[in-house]
Amino acid sequence: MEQGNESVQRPAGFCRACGKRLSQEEVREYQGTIYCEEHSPQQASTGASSSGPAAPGPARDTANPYTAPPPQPSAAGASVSPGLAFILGFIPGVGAIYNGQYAKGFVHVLIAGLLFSLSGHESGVMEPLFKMFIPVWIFYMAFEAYHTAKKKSLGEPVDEFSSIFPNSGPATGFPVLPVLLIALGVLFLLNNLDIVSIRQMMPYAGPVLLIGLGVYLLYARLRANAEAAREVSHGRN
Amino acid sequence: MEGTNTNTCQGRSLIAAIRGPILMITVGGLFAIDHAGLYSFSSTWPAILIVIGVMKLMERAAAPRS
Repeated sequence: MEQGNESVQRPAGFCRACGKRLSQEEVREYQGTIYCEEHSPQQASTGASSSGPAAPGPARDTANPYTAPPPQPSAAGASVSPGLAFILGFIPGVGAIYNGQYAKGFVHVLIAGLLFSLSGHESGVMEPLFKMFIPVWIFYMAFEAYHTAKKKSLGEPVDEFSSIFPNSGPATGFPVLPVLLIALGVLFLLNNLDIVSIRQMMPYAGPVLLIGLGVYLLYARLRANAEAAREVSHGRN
Repeated sequence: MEGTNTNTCQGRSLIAAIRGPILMITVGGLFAIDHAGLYSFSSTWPAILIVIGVMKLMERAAAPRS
């Protein structure tokens, strides 16, 4: 209706969905992107709250698909079903991908593939162990996908790597995952470059594991002690 | 996820941002070594694990101690 006025003055922005020029008071910002009044996703979600992000309104269908509004991260979690996640979890990586955790799915596939290739005939002494790990790992993936999907459907925030390892942030503080990754990488690299073979190192695996576990427990215990002491001193102050 | 990272700490988000490129460079370098005939990729892939671990350590070091 005010097309003449708008074209004369400089536009404050253009709608991302329809490309319409917008004056200063018509601009609707949503997640850092400018929309016009009818294409603002906030407006659309409040207007038709029953239809989720999966079912866009007729106004958004006519818009350019390349400039469609970004999916809303908070509402997307509600659409996962734990049962389907459990079934898909039996395929390596697919359960995590179904939950939207792509990096974790990749890690799942990587570990499953490592187990399969390590249980081949050249692994020698450790072959039965790796073969036993395969079904355990497959069931772990299924149950992990189930629990993550359940958490997600309850609306709890799910991290990309939650529950692969206990997310040892500031609580325990010890970098379990990085140290484990580096140790495994060094081990396999030494083996593959024919410097020290894994078979030669196998007799030391048990003692080294015990020592590592002991050091980790010691670290966690000392850390918890220090935390408790700090808490007490804070309480007195 | 990235948004909360930038809010909490700048260094951590920077390391999280360069994680992908560094992995790419590592994989590319390993393939180059493979093509040069020095070592085959099937024997050098654990270097990727080491790089991931080192980056996780750096990320942890950049995170604020609370």
